[in-house]
Parts: sequence; structure tokens; C-alpha cells
Amino acid sequence: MSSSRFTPRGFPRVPLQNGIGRYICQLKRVTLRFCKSSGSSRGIRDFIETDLVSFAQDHPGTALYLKPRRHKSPSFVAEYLNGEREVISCHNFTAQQMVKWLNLYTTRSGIPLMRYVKMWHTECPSIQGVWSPFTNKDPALNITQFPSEMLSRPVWEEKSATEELVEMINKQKISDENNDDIQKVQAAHV
Amino acid sequence: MLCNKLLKFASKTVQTVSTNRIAVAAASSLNARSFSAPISQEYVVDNTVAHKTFSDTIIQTVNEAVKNNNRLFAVVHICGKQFKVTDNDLVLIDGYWPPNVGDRIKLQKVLLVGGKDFTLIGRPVLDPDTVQVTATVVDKDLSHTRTNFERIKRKQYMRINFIRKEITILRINSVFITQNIDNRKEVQEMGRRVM
Amino acid sequence: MVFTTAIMMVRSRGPDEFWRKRKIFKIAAHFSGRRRNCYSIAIKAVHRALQFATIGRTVRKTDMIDLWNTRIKAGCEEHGVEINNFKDSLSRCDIQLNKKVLADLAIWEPNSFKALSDLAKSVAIDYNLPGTEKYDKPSNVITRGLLKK
Repeated sequence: MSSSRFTPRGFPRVPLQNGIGRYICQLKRVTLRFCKSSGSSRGIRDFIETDLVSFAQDHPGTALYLKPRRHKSPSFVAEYLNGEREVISCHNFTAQQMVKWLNLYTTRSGIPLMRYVKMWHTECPSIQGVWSPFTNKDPALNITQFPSEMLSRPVWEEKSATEELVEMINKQKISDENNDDIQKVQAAHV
Repeated sequence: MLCNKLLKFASKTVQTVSTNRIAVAAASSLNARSFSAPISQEYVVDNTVAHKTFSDTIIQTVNEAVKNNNRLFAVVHICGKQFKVTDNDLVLIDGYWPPNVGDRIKLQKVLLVGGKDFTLIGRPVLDPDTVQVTATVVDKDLSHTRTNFERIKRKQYMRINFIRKEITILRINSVFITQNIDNRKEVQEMGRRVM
Repeated sequence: MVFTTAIMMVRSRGPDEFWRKRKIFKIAAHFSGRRRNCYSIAIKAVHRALQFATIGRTVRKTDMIDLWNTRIKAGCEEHGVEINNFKDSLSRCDIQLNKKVLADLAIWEPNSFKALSDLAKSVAIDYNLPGTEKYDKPSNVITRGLLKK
């Protein structure tokens, strides 16, 4: 019941690298076991009479076997290309339920039910190279002598009041080209 | 020459003068002098041409890098979740998703594409004609049984529910860029809510 | 004399007690001490365990968000951007990458993350966001004022 104890955990995997080329249906064989007369097998018998042929035609890659066995509860066995075998009881199923569950088992691959730790899987997680503490560091660090004066300076210093004033004055200054003319003008006014 | 004369005249007013263009507005602003504002003069360099050549060279380099057909990764938005994805990746999608097993799909919402030497960042989504991410649906299954157990102590309230969600496994077949990145369509969609 | 009433006073709780309790003991199999062997103690422990499992599913999501935030913050600090400015600038550019993907890029595709942080820096400077006085405008980012609305 409680998942973490009884359901194994794993990462998404798909058998036979399905999908890289074309998609291949992973269900190789379905065996329907039912009783010809008991009431619990009524649904499966209805399914066999109505929908079985169309199901078999829709899934040409899957072999379908019928095993009528007296006095046994109905079930179907799904076998997959990777060797997994699952038995599903169809006790008191209706024909629609049979269709639904069989279709589900055709779309599954044979991986056992598990709790997925990650919802993705890559073979190539990194194209540009994984981050390491040295990725964004200047390679000149390898040959610096420590203690280094350059690296000991603070990362960012606030401007002191003197620096700000000096900046303001420099901004107000007119460029050197026009300096002579302005001085002449000022001299003339005086 | 006219420019220099204007500069001399306008030396006591607030001006930003562009070297390429004569400040025609200077003539009108001569009359409106502000004595309260500090006197300043800035030379603003017109960078548009330099920037354009710089960005054109970058676009050209990227177009050449694209032609190398190296492995690219993409950030793709599927069913409300984003995945960083390359060729032959598996992606697990939680919940009901219509595409059937064996369907080949082209993923529309590509937010970012990158390679070893370049990255294309979409705002928010890249052009689907330029960037193509194709995928195949490989598996449609039910998840493992999750137990939902609620209990409020001393209030006789206890509920237990078992739930199995549908999951889909998608195999990303390829991430590739089909054309030059600066190719633009003549007619483009505007203002469509994408995400 | 045979007193049958006493025997008849024994009320049967039902024939299924064994299986009812087995369901609980199965879940409690890995607990310690009496919590795995004695039913009345085990059932309390099992209820607690199932509650924690249910609540943990929502807690995991907030835990993951914290982890991603830590990683993005570390990546930003390496490149000299503040995380608030980083997120703000990216959203102003309509870049809708979520935290999970940003954290993945910071680890697995550091060059792409650097590109994003450079872009964020220059956009933050354009918008004059608080804290951008300390930034040097990256020379390799050309916005031409187009990213500022």
C-alpha cells in the first residue's frame, strides 16, 4: 500500500531504446484465461465475441492466445519484449473494461511499476561543460603569487566625498579646445 | 564651422551635442538659459553604426556555428513544466495528455536553444520555423499507486485515497535550427498569449 | 455443572482480524521495537507515517524551490549580479525561464547562464534598478534601448 516501501524507485528508462528510430509496441504476447461458463468470466467472454478481432487487428505486433480453463477466475497475462510478465485479474470485468485495460497494457513498455525520482533522463546532461569552481575563474589565478595586492582590494568601494567633488568639477569644465577662447572672453569682460 | 560657432555661443547653456549631427535645437535654447542648473557639456558618441556591425558579425558567427550541426540543447515548455532537453532524451509527463503512443510530435514552445558556442534566448518563445524540436511518444502508463491519507486527531476524521495518475514518456528525437537566425517572416503574429 | 453463558458472552469481533491487522503490520514492517509488533502501537505509527508521506509531497515542492533559489543565487553572485535584479531584468525582457531550468543551466550550461546574467546586468542598468551602481555595464551586450519599454 505505502508506495515507498513496496514500490521500487528508479529513473525513467525505456527498453530497447524505443523511440530513437521508430516506435515499436513493447507488448509481445497477451494470453486470455477464462472460464466458458462461470459468471465472473461473462465480461471477458463478451469481449472475445465482440471486440477481440478488432483488438488483434489494431495491434499486429502482439500475439493473442485464448486459454479456456474451467472453474478458474478470469485473468490475462501480458508479456513484454524485455521479458516482464504481468498477470491481471479480470474478475467481473465488463467488455468495455477489458478493452480499456488491454489498451493500457499495449501502450505500456515492460518496465516494472516504480516511483520515479526524476521526471527526465539524459545521456548528455551537459553540452557546454559542467560547472566547476574553476569554470568562471580567471586562469591567471594559477600563476598569481599570494598574498596578491590586486585581489586583496575590496570588490567595490563607495566614492569618497573628495572624489565626488572632483568629478563634479571635471564635468563642469569645458574642453581644452575652447579654454583659450573662454579665457580671452573672460579677460575681455574684466 | 557653423557647429563650432554655435558651440562657443552656447557654452554657458545646458547642451548635449552629438558629433555626427548638428544640434539644431541649440538655436532655440539659446534664449532659454537656466541659471540654476549646473553648467555641463557632454559629448555623446553615436554608436549605432558600430553596434550594428558588431551585432551583424555575431549573428554571422552564430549562423556559421549552426551549420556545424553540433549537439544542441533546448528548454522546452510542455504541460506547464519546462525541461532542458537534447537529442535522445526521455521526458516524463504527468497527467492526461492526448498524444497517443507512436505519435511524432513537434514541440512548439521552445524558450531557449543553445550549443557549445552560442545560446538563443526567446522572449518568451523562439520562432518555431527557425527552431525545431521533434519528439515521439513512447509509453503511456499509469503511475505507481499514491496513498493519500488525511487524519485530524481526536476529531474522528480519517480519509484514505489511492490514486494513479496517467503518465506519458516522450522521447526527444532532435533539436535543430533550420535556417539563419536573422531570417524573419514578412508577416508576424503580434500580441498572442503564448504561455 | 456446565456454565455456557460465560462462553456465550464472548463476542466475536469478526473472522477477519488477522488480515485487517496484517495490512497495518505490512506498512510498519521497518519500524523499530513495539511499533512493528504490537497492533495498537503500530496503528498509531502507521497513521503518522502516512500523514507525513501525504504532507511531504507538498513540502517537497517548496524544498525544491528553495534548492533552485540557492543555486541561482550562487550562480548570480559568481557573475556579480544580485538575484533580485537578475529575476527582475529577465521578466522585464519577457524571458519566461523558470527556476528549475535556470538552476539546471547554472550547473550544466554555465556559458548560457553567464549570457543570461550579462543580459540581466545591462537591462538592470538601463532600467536603473537599485543596486546597479556597482555593476560595470557589460560591453558584449547590445540592447540599443530596445529592451526598455
